[in-house]
Order: sequence, then C-alpha cells, then structure tokens
Amino acid sequence: MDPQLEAAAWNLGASEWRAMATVILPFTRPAIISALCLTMAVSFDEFAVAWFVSGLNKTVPVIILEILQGNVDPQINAIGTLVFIVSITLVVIAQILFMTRTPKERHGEG
Amino acid sequence: MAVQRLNLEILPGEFVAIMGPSGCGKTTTLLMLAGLEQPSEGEIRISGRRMNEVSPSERDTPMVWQSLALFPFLNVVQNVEFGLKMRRVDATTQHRKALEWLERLGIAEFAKRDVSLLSGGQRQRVALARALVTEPEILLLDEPLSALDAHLVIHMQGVLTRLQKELGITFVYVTHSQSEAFAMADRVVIMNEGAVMQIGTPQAVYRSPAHRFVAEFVGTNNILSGTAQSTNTGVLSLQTELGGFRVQPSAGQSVAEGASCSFVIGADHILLTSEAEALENRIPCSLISEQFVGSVVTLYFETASGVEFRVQKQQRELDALNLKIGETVWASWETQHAYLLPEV
Repeated sequence: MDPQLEAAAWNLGASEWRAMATVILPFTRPAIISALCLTMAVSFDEFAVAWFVSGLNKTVPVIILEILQGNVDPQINAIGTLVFIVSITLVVIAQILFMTRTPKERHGEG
Repeated sequence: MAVQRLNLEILPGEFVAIMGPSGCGKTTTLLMLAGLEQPSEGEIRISGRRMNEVSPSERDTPMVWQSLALFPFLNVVQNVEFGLKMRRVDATTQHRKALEWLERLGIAEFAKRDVSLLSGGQRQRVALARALVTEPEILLLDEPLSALDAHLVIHMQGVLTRLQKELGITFVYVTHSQSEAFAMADRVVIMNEGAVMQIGTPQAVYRSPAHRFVAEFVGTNNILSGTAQSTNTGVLSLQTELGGFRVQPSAGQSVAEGASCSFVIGADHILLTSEAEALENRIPCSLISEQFVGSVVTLYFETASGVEFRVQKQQRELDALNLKIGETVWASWETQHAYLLPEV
C-alpha cells in the first residue's frame, strides 16, 4: 500500500483512527481475508503439532490416525474427502482474492 | 536538513508557484503547510493562526498529490465524497456536492466508474474535485501535471488558472517546470538546496534574477562574467574573456573597480546581424544548432573561444535571416538589456 494514501486521508480531514477504518482496512481487506483462509487451511490440516498437544479435544487428522491404527474403515475415505474439499476450497478462495486485487493496482492509460 | 530558514508570506487568493530542481525542498515546504512534515523550528500561520500543533486533519489544506493518491477501492464519486464524509456531512449533500464538482470538471459521466479505468487526465480531474469539494481556502498542489501528456498539460493549466480565479482561493503550486510556474502563478518562489533564491512575479524573476542560480535555472539566459574596469557615468565597463561590454547597474547597485561580476542577457534580446549593423555590445559567433519550440526557435551559437550563446527568434525573423549551420554572424545587444547580477 502506498503510504501516501493514508497521508491523503489525513489531509482530507480523517483522524488517524478514521483513516485506519476508512482507508487502511478497506485497502487491506482482501489480503486479510485471504491470509485468514490460508491459515485456516494450514491449521485444519496440521497433524504433527496437533498430535503432540491435543489432549481430550482431538483434531480431525488425529482422529483419522487413531482409526487407522485400529482397523481400516471406509469412514476414513469419507473424512479424507471432506478434509481435502475444505482445505482446497480455502486455498482457492485465498487465490481468488489475490487475483481480484491485482488488476485494481493497474493504472489507466494515457 | 531539507529546508533551511524560509520566510514566505502568501496572500489570500494568490497563486504562488514554488519552483526548483528536484531535492530543493519545495515538496517538503508544501508538506509542512499540510502538517504532514514538522518544521524543526519556526512557525506556520494560516489566517494568523499558529498551525504547528494542529494535526493535518484539522488544517483544511487539501492537497493534490503528484501520484494523485486516489483511493483504489472507491469509485470516482466515492473518492470525491471522501472529504465531506470525514466532515460528517449528511449522505445526500455529500453525493450532491460530489456530483456538482464532477460536473464542473467535466467528468460526471464517469461518476460510478472505478478510478483505475480512467485515463491520466480524467484521474487528474478526480483528484482536483476530491480536494476542492470541501471548498477550502487553500489548495496545495504537488506537481499535479507532471504525469500528463504535453497537450493535456497546457489544457489543465487553463483549467487550474480559471478555477483559481473563479473560486478566489489560494493556490500553492509546487513544480520543477519553469513554463508551468510562469504560465500560471502570480508570484514565483525559486528554491535551491533548501533555500529560497528569489521570490517575485514571473516577469521579475525572468528579467532581473536575484542570483546566478535563478538566471541559470530560468533557462534561456546568457551569463557572462568579467572584471569591472571603469564605473564612471553610471555605466559599467566589463572586461570578459569575450571582450569588453557595457552594463547599466540597477539603482542601488554599486561595483568597485577591479571587482569580478556577472551579467545576464536574455536570449530574446539578442540581435543577429552583419558586423556593420551590430549594436554596441557585440560578439562574432557561429551557429551550431537550432531547436524548434513552436512559434519561437532557440539558436545555439559558439564564440571563437568556445562559449555557448543562446538566442531566441520568432520563426519568421529566422526565415528572413536565412542562417546556415556553421555560418558566422554578429550577436549584439543594447546596454540597457544587459542585467548586472547582484553579488551574493
């Protein structure tokens, strides 16, 4: 973000807080949402850390491992499909947000 | 330190251009007026009120930025409404006023458009409308026309001067372009390395530069340096490497005999003739190149000792002279047109 945008907002009468709310947040909103989606996808798929730290509240990947250790069950295929769909959706949303931001940066010609 | 001690008073309704090469402190001066830079000492007053402690948002000194700094996530009319929204004007009035300004600047048809889809000239107008919509007393402009095509620059200069006269508000205009400053401003401030070199009307700056830097910056002057020889009868005789010349010092200027000094001859005050018709102050020189700049042509000459001389002529005068590259003519001027530079 061009720091002049914030200065321009002050210059037009926005206090520092209003400039944050009316310029910085709207400008960075797509980046914030896509970062949110990516971190959700990463933590949703996280296995190693979750396996070590989860106590009674087990995450989906940990449950899958426990089921696998007992016996092979078609439940796992179903859960696996769901996990895959959720995380790929989050990643795709993040990507779309990045892509809609980029053409706006382009300057008009002439 | 970007700007040294600066003492500048701008009158209400005046169009002041601050001009200088890049890095001379002109933009810093503008940002200090807007409150976006703090002066380390001294005072900034607007309408008599001390502004140093006033935050930028309360100064009411909107600015047109060199980069325009339009908000890319807002459309044209929302950009223009921004200043009114910050002043908590009700939504209907916001919209009405914004549309009025878009109408006035001839871009009402683009009101709903994304700013990234506009051309340079159109975005320029949006930036102008956004700054003027709150009807400020002062408008700050930081090289607003530097990104535009040449023909648009001339057109926008007309738009700006007309607006300024109609609204009667103060314009402080920063530019590195001499032609822009001269074409629009009531007064010009010339800065170099953070210091003010001269403040005056465009005519005064052009004809009587207060400083060698100003004479060089203004661009079409010839500067000759030499030693003062005799100072009787109010006219100074100067011995330069190109020969002896006579200069009339301005009132109050005194030069001691033997002192070194410089004088300026405007490129448009030089006569090109044969030796027989040449005026009192004369040098033979040969034509090196021509530069066509519209109705006038700048001719570059070189003297036998290699000093460059610039002469400006109307195209039709030049046609009558019928000069060829390499041809030698006599450049001469009247004593009254040589301007002695004040010693600084």
